[in-house]
Amino acid sequence: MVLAGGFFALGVLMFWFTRQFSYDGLQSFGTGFWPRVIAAIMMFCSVLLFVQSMLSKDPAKDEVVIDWKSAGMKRVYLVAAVLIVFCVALYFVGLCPALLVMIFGIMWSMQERRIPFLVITPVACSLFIFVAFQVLLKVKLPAGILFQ
Amino acid sequence: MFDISALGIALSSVFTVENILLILIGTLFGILCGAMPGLSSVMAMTIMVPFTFSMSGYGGILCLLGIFCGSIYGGSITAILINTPGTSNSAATCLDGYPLSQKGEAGRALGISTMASTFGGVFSALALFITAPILAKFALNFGAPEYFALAIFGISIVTSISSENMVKGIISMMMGLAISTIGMDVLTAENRFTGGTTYLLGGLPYIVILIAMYAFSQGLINVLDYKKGGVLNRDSAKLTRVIPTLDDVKKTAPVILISSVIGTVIGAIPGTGGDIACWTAYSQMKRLRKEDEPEFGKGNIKGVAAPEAANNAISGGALIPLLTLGIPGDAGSAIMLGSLMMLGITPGPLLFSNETDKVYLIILGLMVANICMCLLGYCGMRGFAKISSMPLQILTPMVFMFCAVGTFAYNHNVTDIFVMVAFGFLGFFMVKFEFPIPPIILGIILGDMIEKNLQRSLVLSKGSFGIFFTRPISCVLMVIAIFSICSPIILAIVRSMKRQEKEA
Repeated sequence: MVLAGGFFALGVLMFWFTRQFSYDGLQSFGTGFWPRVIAAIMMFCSVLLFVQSMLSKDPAKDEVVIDWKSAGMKRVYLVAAVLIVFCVALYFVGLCPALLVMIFGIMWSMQERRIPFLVITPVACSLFIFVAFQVLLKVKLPAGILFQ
Repeated sequence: MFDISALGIALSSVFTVENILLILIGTLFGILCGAMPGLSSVMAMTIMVPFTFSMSGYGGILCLLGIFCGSIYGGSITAILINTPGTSNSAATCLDGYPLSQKGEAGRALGISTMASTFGGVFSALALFITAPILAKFALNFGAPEYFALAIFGISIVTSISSENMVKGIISMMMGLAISTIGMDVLTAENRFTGGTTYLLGGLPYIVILIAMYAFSQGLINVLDYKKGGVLNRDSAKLTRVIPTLDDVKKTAPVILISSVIGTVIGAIPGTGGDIACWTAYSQMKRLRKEDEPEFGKGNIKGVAAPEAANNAISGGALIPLLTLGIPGDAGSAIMLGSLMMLGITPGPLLFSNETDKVYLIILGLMVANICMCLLGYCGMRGFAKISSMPLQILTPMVFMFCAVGTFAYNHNVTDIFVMVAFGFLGFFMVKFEFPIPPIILGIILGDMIEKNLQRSLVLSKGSFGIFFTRPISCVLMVIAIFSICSPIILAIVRSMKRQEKEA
């Protein structure tokens, strides 16, 4: 039901944004017609999804439920945090150092605690990317604003 | 009917040292990815697509064809050895492959699986060679209403098949279509949903979204499902003889042939894929079992040959609608479409009349990829079997790494990586909430085609939607599309009414 509400809001938002797009009738429908059709169908389907959930005889069985507090989801949150750090590091210090942080962080999130693995894998992977791209393929990898 | 000079040009393009090497590398990469549970064939292709753009000539396409074939085959290795299909295409192979492995006949099962996969792949390439020009000639009569109907047909079939809940499938499709509207409109130069940024003027790059939705989200699923010490296989079965015996070849030859036909036909239908093909072939062969043969599910060698021939046969089948009509039937062919277009090859009926050599190049590439797969399979089977012992906590960060590097390599734009991460999380939650991903991807790809041809058709008909139902081809396609969308809903209502009648 929450999802249905979310998609309905997305449809409304899309419809709202199309108000300034041109539309000159069906023979020359400009840029506004098609997005409005999509938004309308999305809103209609959201209502259907909502009704489907309401009419479900066994909502607990029919609806998909994610256990937000499970150990798996906690790992996903941790990986999400690592990826945010990766994006920030990518912006400031470039790809190779950011990859070091990301690979180490994800391995740590996945309960890898063996120090040699935690050190060698990120370094080897980053080195591989640097050699393969920057050295062999001559592709300039993003350096980050601090090193530009 | 066949252009000999174009065939000659294609032969000289494929059989160069560089291109053969690229096919070999692609096939090897595909097999390795296929052999690792958690990495799918689509994922292997999406990760490699950006790198193939930097390859000279048509090397990128040939390399992708190698990955396509190799990854489907690679999935059977872990299915047979550890009862874990590397890709969903090999799920049916587990049923008889693993019991054979338990009996100490892993080498026999892998040998037949390699032979069946190779035959299925080569057979479907031949089918593509024969049927595609005929279909393309027919498609030359298509106008804007037919193309609109065709795109609606393709997307509706994919939507109806890929999800148990039709409403969720349609919402996914609408999301894809909505994403396709982002950017500058080509006809009016008006910006849509760009938020004033120059990055979005050209629209969201669909390769980036493809990497996010398939590869990145799969990495997150690996993280979610990870169990400590999650090593896929520490005890790879010992492989004895891997070359099939003459007796096995004789026994499985008819099965392989029938399954290859099933795989090719199913592959040509938009929305289907290797998983449907392998289960269909398996169930058909199970029905045809003779009484003196071992039961299916308990180590019948035909139970390995049938799904393997069928799932590899979809490679050529899936290229039939792609090359002749420009409609990708599944995610794998959608990636091929993107790569072909990046190389200036526009799939569709005109490709067959204007650039026949390129069509032959793709067909020949597919055949060579299958032969490379066979050689690599028989030579490196023991090595591939060991790949499944890679720890997940090392494999998963590498998936994320290749996603990031692959995304950057596509456009050399750091913003693409940020977009990929965001869409990766969106894809993860969509998968978890059981929203199908293929309709989103097809929506993004076909959105522009649908809008432009709708506009042209309405100009032709002076604003009347009747044009789609007064022309025979578009009418048939539209009726099938409407039926495929409505039938699951109608069936659900009928079932519910019957249930209520029974209860009353």
